[in-house]
Amino acid sequence: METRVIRTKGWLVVLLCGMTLAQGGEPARDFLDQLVEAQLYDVALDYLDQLKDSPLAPVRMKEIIPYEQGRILIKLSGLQRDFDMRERQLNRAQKSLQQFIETRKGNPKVAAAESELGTLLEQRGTLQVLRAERPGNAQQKQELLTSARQRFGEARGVFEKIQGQLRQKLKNYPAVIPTGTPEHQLREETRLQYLQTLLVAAVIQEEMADTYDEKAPERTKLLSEASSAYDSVYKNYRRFVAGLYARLYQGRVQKKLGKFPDAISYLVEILENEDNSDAFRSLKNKALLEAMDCWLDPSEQKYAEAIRQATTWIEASRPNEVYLEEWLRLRFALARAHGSYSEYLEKKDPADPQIRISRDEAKKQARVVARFSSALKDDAQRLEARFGGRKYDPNKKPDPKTFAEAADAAKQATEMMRTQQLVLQTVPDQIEVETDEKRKKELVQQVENANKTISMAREDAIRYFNVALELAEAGTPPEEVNQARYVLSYLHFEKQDYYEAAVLGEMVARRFPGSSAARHCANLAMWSYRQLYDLNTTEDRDFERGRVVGAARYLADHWSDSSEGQGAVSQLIEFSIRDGDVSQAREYLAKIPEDSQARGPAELKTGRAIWYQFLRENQQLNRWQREGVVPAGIDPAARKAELNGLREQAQQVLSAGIQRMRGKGSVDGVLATAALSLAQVYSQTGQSVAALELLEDKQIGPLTLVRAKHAAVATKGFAAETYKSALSSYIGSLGNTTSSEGAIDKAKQVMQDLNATVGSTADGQAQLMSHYATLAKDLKQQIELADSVTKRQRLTDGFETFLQQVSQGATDLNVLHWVADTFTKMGEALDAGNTRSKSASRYFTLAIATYERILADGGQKDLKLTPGMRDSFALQLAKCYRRVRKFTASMAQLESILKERNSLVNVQLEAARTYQLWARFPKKESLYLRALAGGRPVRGKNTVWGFQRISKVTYRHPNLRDAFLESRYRMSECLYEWGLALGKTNQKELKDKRLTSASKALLATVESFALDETWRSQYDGLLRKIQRASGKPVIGLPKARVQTRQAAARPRQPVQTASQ
Amino acid sequence: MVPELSFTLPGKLQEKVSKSRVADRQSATGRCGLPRRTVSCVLLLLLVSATWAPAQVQDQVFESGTPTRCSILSVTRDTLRVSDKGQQREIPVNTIRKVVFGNEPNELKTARDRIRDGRYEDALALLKKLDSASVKRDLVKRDVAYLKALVPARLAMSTSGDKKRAHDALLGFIKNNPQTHHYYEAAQVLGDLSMSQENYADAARYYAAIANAPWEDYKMRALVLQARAQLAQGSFDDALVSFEKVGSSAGNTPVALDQKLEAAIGKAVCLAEKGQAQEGLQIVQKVISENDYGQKPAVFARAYNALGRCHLAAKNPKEALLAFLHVHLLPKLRSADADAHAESLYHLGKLWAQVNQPDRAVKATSLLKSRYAGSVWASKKG
Repeated sequence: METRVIRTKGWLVVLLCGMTLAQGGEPARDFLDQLVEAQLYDVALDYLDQLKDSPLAPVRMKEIIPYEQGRILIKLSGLQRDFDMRERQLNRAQKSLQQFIETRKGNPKVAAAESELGTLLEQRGTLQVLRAERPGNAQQKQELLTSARQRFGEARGVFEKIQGQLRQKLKNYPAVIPTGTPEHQLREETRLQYLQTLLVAAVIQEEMADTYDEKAPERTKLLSEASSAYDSVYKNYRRFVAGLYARLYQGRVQKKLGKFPDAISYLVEILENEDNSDAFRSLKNKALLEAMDCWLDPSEQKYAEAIRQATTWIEASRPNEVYLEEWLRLRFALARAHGSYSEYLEKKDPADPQIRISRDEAKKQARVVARFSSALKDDAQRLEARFGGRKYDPNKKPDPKTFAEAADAAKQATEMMRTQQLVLQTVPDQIEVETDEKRKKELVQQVENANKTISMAREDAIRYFNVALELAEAGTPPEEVNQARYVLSYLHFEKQDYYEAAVLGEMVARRFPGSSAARHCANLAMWSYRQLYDLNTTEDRDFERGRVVGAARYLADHWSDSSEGQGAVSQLIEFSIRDGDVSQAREYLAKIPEDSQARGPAELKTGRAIWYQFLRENQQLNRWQREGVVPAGIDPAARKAELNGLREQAQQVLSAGIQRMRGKGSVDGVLATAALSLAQVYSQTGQSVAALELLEDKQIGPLTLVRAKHAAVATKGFAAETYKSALSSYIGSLGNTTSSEGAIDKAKQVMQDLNATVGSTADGQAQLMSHYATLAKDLKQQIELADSVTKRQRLTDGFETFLQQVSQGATDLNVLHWVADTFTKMGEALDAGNTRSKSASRYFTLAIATYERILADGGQKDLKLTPGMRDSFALQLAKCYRRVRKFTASMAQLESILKERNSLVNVQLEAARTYQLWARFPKKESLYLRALAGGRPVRGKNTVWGFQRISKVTYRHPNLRDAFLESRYRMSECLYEWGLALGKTNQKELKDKRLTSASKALLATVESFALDETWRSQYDGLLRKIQRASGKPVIGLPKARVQTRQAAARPRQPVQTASQ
Repeated sequence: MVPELSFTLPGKLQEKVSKSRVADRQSATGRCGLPRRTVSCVLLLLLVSATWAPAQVQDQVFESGTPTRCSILSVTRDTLRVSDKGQQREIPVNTIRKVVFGNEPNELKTARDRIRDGRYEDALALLKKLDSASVKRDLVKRDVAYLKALVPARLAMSTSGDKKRAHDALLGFIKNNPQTHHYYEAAQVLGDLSMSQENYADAARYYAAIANAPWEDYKMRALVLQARAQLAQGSFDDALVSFEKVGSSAGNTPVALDQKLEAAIGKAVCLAEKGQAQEGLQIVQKVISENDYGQKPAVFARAYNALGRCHLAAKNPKEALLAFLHVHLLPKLRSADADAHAESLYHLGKLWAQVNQPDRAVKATSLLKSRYAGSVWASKKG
């Protein structure tokens, strides 16, 4: 990713360095230049650090260390793929260069440092151009390009300033200076620097032109100016190599302007130069590459000339040049020329024998390019495939006798697979546009053949790699053996033989950690185990889980700074989260460097996990407090403070992730999801204004993106989740006087959008109902989390206003259900437990009215209630009646359901609970018996079962474990409460009897069935109450026992449950 | 069996050798065995055409400065006896850079230059192309035979080849030509071949033959080479004694001083291996700071390898890496001493892996195995 300016300056630096005089001692200058030439920039920076304290370092070198650091950091940044990292390296470079300029004012390198600062600005411009080219940045493209132009302008300004200084300096030299003197050398250096600034300024002009659209007049103007600048350099310095480079660039600019004849004339001028020294070979190579583009342009179609020139040049190449990138590019251009020539001739005369020759040549040249690893490899394979590719003869099987032969046969089969995979990538598109039926059939056949060949070639490759591994001897280079193992592992992975892939990959990674294949193998092993984990649908996934975590730990420990290592940490985070170990996840998160690309997504994942943990634990605490069963040793206030800390952590981590990913300039699915999650955190913690700001953010706002149909939010369900969050936030903002303006209209619009998105099909309607149900929960959560009474009041007032407006005249079942459900949830959020809350009763009453309206209008056209839905609404209505202590009405609703469908366990539970709650009222204690043993008989059978029968029915069904445990718990609770009620009427004996029964029933359950932590704490709390009431020592439950036979019993038959 | 360099040739062979010397002398002076009358005619003709034709074919001996155009009369392992402008004199072998024989085939001349540039394959191809039958002069024949034995030995130690066969061929040549001016060079190559096969005892004996030369700097070189064999063998104490002996010797010619530098470098490695890395570092740093790498690239190549080994011993892998990289990256150092380059690649292969750069490690190891397949470093374990 080195920019044109860096490249242009590169060979000028080489010329300058050649002029330095040899000195005794440490050859620091030469060594540093060699490190830079070998692109070992990291080592070069280490070397500079070492020079600071080295007794060997020449003093002159020590003085310019900051300059060199800046220069090298700029180069290092050019290799960075991560734009943020690149920016940071440029910042460091700028700091070093500025430090050098400020502290070493008289140093001859100051001008060079200023020039590097110009390069740095140009790099920043290039970075913006690269950002603008990212598909995800379509919206900010113009903004980024404008910023790039600004940077280029500043860079050009720097070079023009230096140009003026150098011009003056050159004028000050005497006209005649004897050659070989230091003064002569200095003047030549200055002259080259001056020439460099001239050329670089023109290059920047060209780069600036490239930031405009192809047809923009600004582009043409800037390119013309660049062309004039190059022309001037060429005319004044044609005897210098730099002058000829100016000519080459002038040709390139003419090509960009579409003036191909002019471009060709300039470029051919270079090609015809008779000098074939190394410097000229490179120049000519570049010129030929540019000329090839011109000849091959459809407006020129000079294929024969392109072929002639490129063939002659390539034939004269040296053996070690075959694999060099520049030569591969040239060969690829030759392949393209042959391909285009064959197509051109085919249109003129399909019988021309040259067609076949050119097609074969195109294939041949493309194959050579494809043999080497370069950026052109894929394109070359594609080109080869386009012209027929190689024929794969599965019957022609070599019989390898050595490791090398077998590995070679395997590699050939692998190459064949790759070529055919490219056929599958390109030919289907051709089939779509092909109008000639005959040709279409041929292409379809080509695809079928490709599929068969891939499968056969993969099998062959696997077989030959296995043979190769068997033939490997003590003398076989271990690196080659490991490479074979790596490819074999990959082939197994592709074939979905994940276990083989994992075992082989892990073996290389653990036994040969120094091998270049080790990191890739470790990564393959981790992902193979992950696939096995995902494919295992049984409950027992401990083996796979252990292997994924083991491989991920190994990868993260050994290659922490690689993308694979950071990917492994992400896996560890995911599994920690799955295990509910959020603190472990946070520890892993800290291991990912701040500037790693994996950091943002990991922060998102961890942040969400913390948030979910907070929600879970907060819900639990609320339930404990509501039901008065806070386990011993838990201080609700302290717990609340802990949970608030957790909530803040979630917000912090998510916010950091968003900030990090927003800085990248592009929006992808990960960032959009992160923004949505954070908006949910804001919305559910009463920060509706912040939530809305994020949802409506112009760059990354999920609502903005959904409405713009941005590709980043095309994931299924994303739009619905966004609308839900937006709706929740708009409603939440109603309580806020400053931001509620227009919120109701916006919320209504979002509701319409949500309905339109989810759709009107039966599935869609079911989804919509589920969305509204969670929305109601969200609103309830907001009320519960409101940290002051005023805030709570404002929220509920806002919700109520909105719900009333929405329900007026509404005929949509989903909307009415949501309104009723939300009123219920609001009532629940405000319900203070045993003491009656006026506000809560008000909302329950509103919910009752809405449910009654639904059930009354149930037969109407718009609502269309199914029997299941009717039962569900009747159940909700019954619960609301119970909340406002209208027990008779509540029981009537429940009975009506149970008469039709008696085995609905959840309704039976509600009925028993209603009896229990009713029994708590004065003189109603006899109803405890109904709660326990049932009531409302029809033909001798109780319609309401009571807790006792519920427990008998449910205990053999693992899917009804909670219903069973609750019924057993309630049995003891009823007996305990009944006992207390009897005690109040001085029936001590009966009281003791009930308490003893309560205790026995409870202990029998605890001894016979394994309880989870939640149930155990509740049972423990109840037992303590019983013990206290009985006047016995309050010791609670004995220590937990292992699972018993009954608890492990398998389910017999599923028991019907009511739909919610 | 240990090869012997103090050759006593069988009687018949000795006779052959002395005859060939006479023949050389005759051809060099124009006595080619023609009838007296014919000789007179030829001399007359030569006198008549003296203005446009050379009087006779001249050999060239390259020392420092302008080459000596002369006739080589006889050759021993220590001197060349020449007739220079009518005067006979002896040129000591230790001052000679190159000998070019008059009328020698072009292929021979070019092959010699190729060997100097390290292009052994090209040299071998040229020597194979050379028509041996066209060479009449014995001295030239012997030179061709020497180069034909030398090139496979050099190849075997670098890219590829059968080391044993190369060794036997070169030893065979020396046995047949004990008085060649290539004697000491051949002894060193035989020693190097033995070193590359980790046969240190043989190497030491071959190097010892160089100590028989009458010049102090050759004796010092012999000792340095022997010490290196001891060092490679792991006899650090013995090697240290040998290196110190060179360092304290009286020689102060430029060549002798170079040997002292080599000894200092060797001493530094010995100290590092004996656990005195800091002392070793000081010695090498002094060598580097007091010399010019442009003038003594081979010394610098070995000095940086020594520096690397001292840092390795001091457990400074990053510093060691930088030291070995000097040898690998600086073109002058890389081309000055193939063995030093191979050594640097060997260490780099290990160090890159140690600093978690496996790709670079593979690159260094692959280069070592492809370019210096015959080197002891390419086959070194551990």
